[in-house]
This record gives sequence, structure tokens and C-alpha cells, in this order.
Amino acid sequence: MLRRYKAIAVFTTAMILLIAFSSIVKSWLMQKNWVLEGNNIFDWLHDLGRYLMATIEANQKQSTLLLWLFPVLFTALLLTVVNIVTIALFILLRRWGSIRFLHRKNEMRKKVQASIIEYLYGDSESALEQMKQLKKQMLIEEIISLRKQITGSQTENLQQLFYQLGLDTFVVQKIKSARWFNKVLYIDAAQWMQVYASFELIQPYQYAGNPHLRNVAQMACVNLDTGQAFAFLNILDQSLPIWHQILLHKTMVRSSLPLPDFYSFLQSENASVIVFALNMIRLFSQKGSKDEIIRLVTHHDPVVRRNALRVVRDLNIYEAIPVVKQNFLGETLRVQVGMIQALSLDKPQETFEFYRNIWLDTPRRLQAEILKHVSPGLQAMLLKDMERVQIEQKQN
Amino acid sequence: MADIFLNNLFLIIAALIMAIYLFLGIISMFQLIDYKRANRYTEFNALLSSPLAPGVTVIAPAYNESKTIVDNIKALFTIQYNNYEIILVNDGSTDDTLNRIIQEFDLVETEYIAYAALPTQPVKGIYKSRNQAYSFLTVVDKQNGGKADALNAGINVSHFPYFVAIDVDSIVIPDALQKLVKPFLSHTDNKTIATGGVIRIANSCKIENGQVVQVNVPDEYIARFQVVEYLRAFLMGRMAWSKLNGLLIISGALGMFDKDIVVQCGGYNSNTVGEDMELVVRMRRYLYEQGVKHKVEYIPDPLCWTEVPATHDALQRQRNRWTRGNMDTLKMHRKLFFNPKYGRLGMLGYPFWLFFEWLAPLVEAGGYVFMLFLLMTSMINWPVFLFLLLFVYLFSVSFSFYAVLFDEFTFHRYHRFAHLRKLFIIPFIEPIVYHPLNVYWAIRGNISFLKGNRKWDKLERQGFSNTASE
Repeated sequence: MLRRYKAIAVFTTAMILLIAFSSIVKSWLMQKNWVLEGNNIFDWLHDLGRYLMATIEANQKQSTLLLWLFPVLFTALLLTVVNIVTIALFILLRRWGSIRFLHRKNEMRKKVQASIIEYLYGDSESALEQMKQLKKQMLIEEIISLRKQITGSQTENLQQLFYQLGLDTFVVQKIKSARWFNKVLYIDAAQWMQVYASFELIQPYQYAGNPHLRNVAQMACVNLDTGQAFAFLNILDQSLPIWHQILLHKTMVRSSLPLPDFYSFLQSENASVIVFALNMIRLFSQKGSKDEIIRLVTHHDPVVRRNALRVVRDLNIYEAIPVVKQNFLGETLRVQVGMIQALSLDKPQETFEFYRNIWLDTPRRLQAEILKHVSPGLQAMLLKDMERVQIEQKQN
Repeated sequence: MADIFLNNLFLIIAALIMAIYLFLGIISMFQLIDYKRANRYTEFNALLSSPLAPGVTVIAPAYNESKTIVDNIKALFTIQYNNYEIILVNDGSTDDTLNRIIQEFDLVETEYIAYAALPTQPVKGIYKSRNQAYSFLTVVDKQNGGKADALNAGINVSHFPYFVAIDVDSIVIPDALQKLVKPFLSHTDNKTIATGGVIRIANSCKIENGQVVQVNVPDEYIARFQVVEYLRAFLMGRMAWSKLNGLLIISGALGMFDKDIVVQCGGYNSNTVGEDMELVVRMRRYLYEQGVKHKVEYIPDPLCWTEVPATHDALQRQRNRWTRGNMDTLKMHRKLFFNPKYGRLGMLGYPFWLFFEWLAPLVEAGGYVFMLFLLMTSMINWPVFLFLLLFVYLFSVSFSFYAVLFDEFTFHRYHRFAHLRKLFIIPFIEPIVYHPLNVYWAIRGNISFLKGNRKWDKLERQGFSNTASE
């Protein structure tokens, strides 16, 4: 709750603190003598505040609102000055510090990288001892970064190094972190380094509310679960966005994972899961029940229908053509474009006949889409026929 | 009695404005932090190889850009994306813009089937290159109809479900499309209908092969003021409105849109000079009326660099146009005003824009007049007046400092100490010099609007130089 409304919470707290602080300032201004008396700046401020307050009080025409607000405004003014100075100093110090920090970090990074290379291609024992002295987080960052860039036998050596340094237990510990972005970082590391011990820990996050955490957990579980890698799709009630689908697909390709039977997810009540399954069936040309695909051509969700049509086209499911033709005119434009592409499976003459029969009932925008998406030969036939119809219409 | 009432009124308005800006600043801060954390390890380049990545059309209208058009198009070729096309719309240029493109890219007029879903001025021809290397480039030559009309022509010809509208002379960073498209692919409950990125100022920056290779703070003060102004507007204003889902505008220099929704809404409005804002408001209004949950998202990444007016006159004309565009859109969509049917757009976004973007300069001008009246009638309480003036001034300075801080924490584009020195001076001068000018230009914009001025006033750019100032 507080996370959701953190801006409101911070703003309210700031306002409360301002009012509380201003009441202190007010009582300070009311006093003639006070604790830090003798300090030039504070004395000056005190005198200024008292003078302004007296001026407002003395002026009959001045509003009571200003009188009431004055301590708040005076406090805010002081805080604003402090703010400006603090921010300027902070930026300068940070800039100065970050230059040094970055320099140190780069030095450290070079050292880590050199040690990893030494481990992989040189004296692995001494390199290992050297790395044991280094910061674990940096080691993980560098090992994962390198792992993402290489393939082949060295990946196994890199993984071995990861375990020899005890980074697997460090990762498992860090996944327990309360901060979601730390979890994301270390779940990703666990995924790349095949830390199976973290699987149980990661599993619940597949259904987390935070989409970033959910996505990385799903990818990790796909990688780490040797049995039912995609079981989470059966119970997922949140939407599986295309972005997550892209990353899951990339994970599968990258790790050459054994493919599950994606047809088993086509019955899901979650439309995004069906879309994912259809996409995977299409991209991996997975064979299965054609009837299932044909059924989805008339699914209630247009996104599912569109993706089912892509499968029809790419997997040459000729049996779907009668269903496509039957539903063509009542469809939304985007699905109709998918249907036009799917109809390219049909014999040109039959497709031509189909379009010719529906041409007059077809809106101009759809006609343009048909002409745009059919083969050049069919396009020429349709354009010729259009000319003929126009001539006939003129003659009549 | 009246002077006390006015005193109180101005006091309340000023306090309210400051409180609201403070609140927006806090929201932006959290939004920026969240964005940085969420995207720290995001593999945007997954989009480069994924067959699931959607296609994107880049639409760039051009009018009399003969001198720079070839370089501008080549700069667009640096975009890194899997599946995209570039549509350059020559909006009836009277110079040799079209000829230069034809020669450089070996273009030939081609047969093209496209349904004009959006009405535009007649298209004279569509050109494609004979060179396969430029197969993703399409040039539409049409009669002049203005930027909105040119964008509509581009939409009619486009192939893909999303399009990016850009100013042809802007410098788009190579991975801009990857970052802009991601929110469209990541949404779960609310459909993303448009995304925009932070626009940065390229004046005095070093440009090589269509990319900014060295960032500098502009040499001209007038452009330098705009650096801080843009940081405030993008990192503190629009980020907050993005979080609140109350955004009314995606900058015309760079924005990505869901084409289907744009077409359903009738495309860009050619009869307004604020076509970028008007489109977003109309899209949102349409979706609220359809009962579709949606969002417009801002990305804090600096995705685009643009040249801003560096002269008083050019800036004055730009601000005048912005004010007119603003007023036009607010007038066209007045139905939204505190209308709960339009959710946050009607209850938050629209009223804020009305009060703070349109009315605020007018109220401020009223304040100046009132101050003059008090001066002339010797009713001014000098100590209190100076105190309040100092307070408002310092608040404004600190707000600008926060914007610089946000940039420092997030994208850190001005990385030299010399940059900081220049940037630190601006917040102190800006409220005295630049802000009153803005108020004046806004008032003139209001007057122009009431006089019925609907002219676009093309911004004459000085062009990028390859040598940066040191």
C-alpha cells in the first residue's frame, strides 16, 4: 500500500515536517533571547524574521492569511536556500566522487577480467586464489557479462569458476533480498549459471505482481526446471506480454531447451498463454492437432485469431481455409489481413473466385489490403477484373 | 478590501502551484528510480533478433530541407531495429529537396497500393530505391498541406502496426525504437497507445555521421536556458504525468503511436498548429468513450537530440505557436474539463494543463499588473513584497537545481565540470530574464490565437556543425 502511494506519503510527510518545523521557527522568532544568540548569521536571520513579522502585524491592510502563513514561508525559504546549496554541493561531490569511484571500479573490473581470462586460458589455480580476494558482486557481474557473450566449451569452465568461488551460495542468499531489483539481478545470475539450488526459491516469483521479477523468474524456471519447464503457463492468471514472450523465446533458443508440447496450452483460459503457445508452435514449426488450430481461428479474442491465422499460413494448414472464407466478412480489419495472408495457401484461381464474389461487399480499405497482400499474379487478375467491372458499370 | 482579497488570491495560487510542482517532482523522482532499476539489465537488443518483434514505420515529414535532407536521411539509417521502414514525406517542398533525395538514393517512381484511410492533400508520387540497400526507404511526394497532413500521408502508406513520428532534422539515437516499442509490448492491463522519449538539446554538440558524439552545453544563452527548461519539463513534469496516466502530449520531435487507434481517431488534425498534443488528447478521449483502459508512457531515456531556437525571434515564434496549439486543443476538447467520464484525463490532466500551462502565464501577468497598481498607489509593503519575491525566486531556482540533479542521477549527459558550471548559473538567471519573456510570449500567443492566427511558422534551424564548441 505504502509502496503504491509512496509519492503521496513522501509529500505528506514533507508538508507535516514543514509545518512542524515552521512552528519551531515561529516560536524561535517570538523569543527575544535564544540559545544560539551571538552567531552572526543566526542573529541576522532572527532579526530579519522578527522584523518581517512585526511589519506584517503592524500593517493593518495586510491579510491575516499572510500573517498565518509567514512562519511556513519563512521556514520554506530557509529550507530552499539549504536545498540549493546542498544539491549543488552534492552534484559536485558526486561528480568528483564518481570520477574516482568509476576509475577505481574500472581498475577493479580490469583486474577481475584479467583474472577470469587467466583462469580460462592460463594458470587457473593462482587466478582462482586471486579472485577469492575480490568482491563477489563484481565477480558475478563480470562472469555473467562474459557468459552472455560467449558460447562453446568455455561456458562450462566459466560455470565451474562460478561454483569454485562459492558464488552459487552467495546468489541463493541474495535472492532472498527484500528488494525486488536485487532479486532480479541474482535470479538472472542463477539462470545463467544453472544454480539449481535456487529453483525452489525462485518458483513462487513466477506469479509475482512485479512484472520484471515475474519475467526473470519465469525465464529462470524454464532454464532450471528439468521436468515441467513451462508448467507455470497452466496456472498463470496474469497476462503474458509479448515482451516476456520474446525473452522466453530467446531463452529457449539460446539454451537449446527441449520443447514442451505447446499444443497442450491451447486450451488455456488465459488468452496471452494461447498466443504464446501459437507463436511457439509457429516459430518451432511444431506439429500437432490441426483441429485445435482451426478452432482458434474462431476464438473470441481477435489477438488469438490473428495468431492462429499465422500458424495456419506458416504450417500450411489447408484444412482451415473453408473456416477462414466463411468468417472473412464479419472480421475486424487486422484479422482480415491475417486471413488474406492465410488464404495465400489456397489455389490462386479459387482465391480469385472468392475475392471476386465478395468484392462488392468489401469496404475500400479492405480491398486495398487484399490487393496489397496477395501475390503479384493474383493482384493483376483482381485489378483486371476491377477494370472490367468499372467498364460494365459505366456502360450500364 | 479588494487589495486584501487580491493579495490572498495571489498568495493562495502561488502556494498551490508550488505545492503541486513539489508533488510532481516527488512522483518523477520515484518514477525515474523505478525506471532505472527496472531497465538496468533489460535486454533491449532481444528485439533485434526476435521474430516476434513488431514492425515499426518511421515517418519523417520534410519541407524545403534541401540543404540537409540527405544527411538527415542517412542519420535515420543508424536506427537499430529488426523490422522497420522509413517513410519520408516531401510536403510539397518548393526547393530541390525531392531531386536531391532521388539522386542520392537512386529512387524511381513506383506503383503503390495504399488506401487513404486518412484524408490528405493529393499524393503526386511514391518513390522506392533501385538499390536494395535502401529497400526500407519510401519517399512520398505530395502537395503541401502542413506537418499534420504529411504525417497522415505517411500513415496511409505505412505497413506496420506502430509508427514513429519524427522531425526529419532531429537526431534519433540508434536504439530509440527498441526503447519506444517496449512499453507497447510490456503492457498487461492498460493498452499502451503512445510513447515518447526525452528530447535533448543538440545546439553546440558535436555531431558525426548523424550521431551526437560529444555533448556540450549550448554556447548561446537562449539555448542554454532551454536546456534547463527541457530537463524540468521532461524529467520532472512529463515523467510524473506518465506515472499518473494523465499525459496530454507526446513531443512532435519523437513519438511512437499505435497506428490502428490513430486511424480510428481520424489521424493528425491539419487545422491546428498543436497537432502533436491534439492527437494524443483525441486518442485518449476516443478510448475513454470506447471504455478501453489505456496509457500514454514517457521514457526518461534521452532518445532524440534536436536543435532549439537560438535567437530571440525564432524562440518567440515557437512559443507563440505552442501557446496557440495549446489553446486550440484545450478549446476543441473542452468537454473533458472536470468530466469524470474521462477519468484522470478529465479530472487531472486537462485541468492541470488549463490552469498551469494556459492560465498560469495570464495569472502571472495579472500579478505583475497588480504589483504595478500597488506601486503606483504606494500601497506596497516593501519588506513583505521583497520577502515574497525572494521566496518565489529561490523556489524556482531550487526546482531547476532538482532537474539538474535528476539528470545527474539518471542519464548524466553533461559530464564535464565546465558543463556543470554553465548549468549552475542558468537557474539563477532564468527566473529574471527568460521566464518573464516566456510569459510575454504566451500572452502574445493568446492574442494571436484570438486574432485567428493559425500559421505554423516553420522554425529556421542553423543546422548542426561537425565541430563542437569547447
